[in-house]
Amino acid sequence: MSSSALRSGLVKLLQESLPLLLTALVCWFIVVATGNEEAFADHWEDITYLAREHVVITLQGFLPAAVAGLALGVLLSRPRLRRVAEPVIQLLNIGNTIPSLAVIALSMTVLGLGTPPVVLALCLVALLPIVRNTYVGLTTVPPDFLEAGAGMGMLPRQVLVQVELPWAFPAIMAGLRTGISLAVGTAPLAFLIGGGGLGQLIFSGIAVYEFGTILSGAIPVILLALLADLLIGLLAQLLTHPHTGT
Amino acid sequence: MIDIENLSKVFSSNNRDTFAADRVSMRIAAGETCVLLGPSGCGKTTILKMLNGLIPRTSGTIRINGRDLDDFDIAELRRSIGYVVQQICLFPHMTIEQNVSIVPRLLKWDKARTRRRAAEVLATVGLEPGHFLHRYPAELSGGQQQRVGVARAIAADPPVLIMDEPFGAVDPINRESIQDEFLAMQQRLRKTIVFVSHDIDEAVKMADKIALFRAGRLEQFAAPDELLAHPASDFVADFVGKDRELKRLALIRVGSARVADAPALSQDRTVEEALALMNAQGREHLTVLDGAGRPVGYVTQARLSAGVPAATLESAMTPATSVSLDDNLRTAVSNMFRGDIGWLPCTDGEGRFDGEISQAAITHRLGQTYRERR
Ligand SMILES: Nc1ncnc2c1ncn2[C@@H]1O[C@H](COP(=O)(O)OP(=O)(O)OP(=O)(O)O)[C@@H](O)[C@H]1O
Ligand SMILES: [Mg+2]
Repeated sequence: MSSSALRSGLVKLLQESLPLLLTALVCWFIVVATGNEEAFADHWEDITYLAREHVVITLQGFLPAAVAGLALGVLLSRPRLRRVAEPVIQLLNIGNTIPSLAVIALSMTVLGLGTPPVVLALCLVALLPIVRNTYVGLTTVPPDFLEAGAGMGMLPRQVLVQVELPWAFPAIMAGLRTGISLAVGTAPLAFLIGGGGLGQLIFSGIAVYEFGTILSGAIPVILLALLADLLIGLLAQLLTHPHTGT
Repeated sequence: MIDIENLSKVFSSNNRDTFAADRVSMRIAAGETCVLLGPSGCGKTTILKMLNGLIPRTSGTIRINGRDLDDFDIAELRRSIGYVVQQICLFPHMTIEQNVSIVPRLLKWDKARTRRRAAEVLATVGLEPGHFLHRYPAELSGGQQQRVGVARAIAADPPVLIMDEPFGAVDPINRESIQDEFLAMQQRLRKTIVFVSHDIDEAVKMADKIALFRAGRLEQFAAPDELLAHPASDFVADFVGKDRELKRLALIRVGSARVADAPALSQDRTVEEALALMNAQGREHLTVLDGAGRPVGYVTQARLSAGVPAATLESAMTPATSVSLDDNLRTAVSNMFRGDIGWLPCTDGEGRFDGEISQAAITHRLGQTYRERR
């Protein structure tokens, strides 16, 4: 039994990581086709350093967004706040249509140059999908389940933990995936206001019209976004039982 | 004991008031099963949910064991009332064991006791614990889920059970057997049960008392046989159906309609002896018994007088089916139809002959209640 579970686990892992592997392959093909292997090798040290920096600022923005987003989503879904919830979600939806660059720019006008405005901007960008998915997940719990929980004598807090959150789990995880992908993808813009990260290679490459430099920044960003998405996806798989659906 | 007095519930939506309960009063004794019956939308679920406070009352009082519902801590009250939800509602992310352990966990039972109890209640509802404890609801058939729903409700051994169409989602055959098992369980546990159904046959089978509703009003509150024999209104008569006398058959035990002084003879006796006995008692037939006193066949005066080339009854008799005194009249009538015969020998707990039952006796028994009221 455990060996077949192991096998199906490996198959899942392969399936989930397929997009990342394929993309990596395509990227490498582009690098080779455009004759930029050498530029890539030259920039290797920068790439690893900047990638690490990129991950750090992304996480600095994403982690608070995850915590705040979950809390806000839970709060908004409580019956007492239902009345204000819809307008707030609408507002968030409008916020979501503001281009990331504009968010970064606005953030800079408040916090100046450097890492803090970048972290704030990334946090805001990631926050929206997390709040929205948490809220939607929690408000689509079938009323029968809520009533069954309450009817057996669960307190509202116990209904939340034992019934609502498990039900909303797949939606919440999807929100986190979207959030982290957005954060990774927005982080290159940090370079524009003095934050670090892989944006440095991309934008300096554009400035001097060097494709090799651009690619050595852009490709790691793409792969990092997919990797983050994959990791959260795997976490979700790990925490979900096969029979509960997604 | 559950005391409901002048209970009303008004839903107001779109400036229209719906009376889901309209001055309902009834008293359900401890250990009794009361079935709330009525057409869709008559307020059964609403009344049930007012019992555990899931729906607030508009007016009226509910007392459980003499204590007003308002005086209970609501969560505590709900933990002491087993609840089977319409559509079962097992939580898909929990194993069967976790589902069944919900109330014990809320009551902070220790782990060992909770685990023991989970296995115990699964066995009670006829599910092999070792096979089901660690599976998920999605892996169970509808009937099995229904059983788990009942197990979950009785897990903390609550004195009161409320159930909303608990056997609604299974096929008729499975429903029959779940109902039978539930009845047997109730025989042992003697809970006070309020049970919603819209199926008159289910109500007749399960209930000590039936409360029949129509648009929020209690039309009649009576024992099943009373409801069937003496419907209080045309609505009740319509609802229970034109064949209501036939439904009564299932409620009456053969024992209460049988004729005790029926003739019978052992199979090694002679044809002459049989004819003499029938003549003496003025009977058309008699039951033939084996050595242990169990009915094995019958002989009729007409056939024996026509002359049979047999000395003992054993070779002269026609094989017969019998019916137990504990069976109901419905079974008896069914056996009569099958045997194309107007009477049957009855048997006691050991299978021995104990009187007979005839169509005339059944008719007489059904009519008893009408003669008494005349
Ligand atoms: N939340 C609500 N708001 C407004 N009206 C309601 C509400 N709940 C129930 N009603 C109305 O109250 C009446 C009784 O509903 P209830 O659910 O108790 O019926 P029921 O007898 O259980 O029916 P069914 O057999 O279909 O389950 C119906 O007319 C229904 O439309
Ligand atoms: Mg109902």
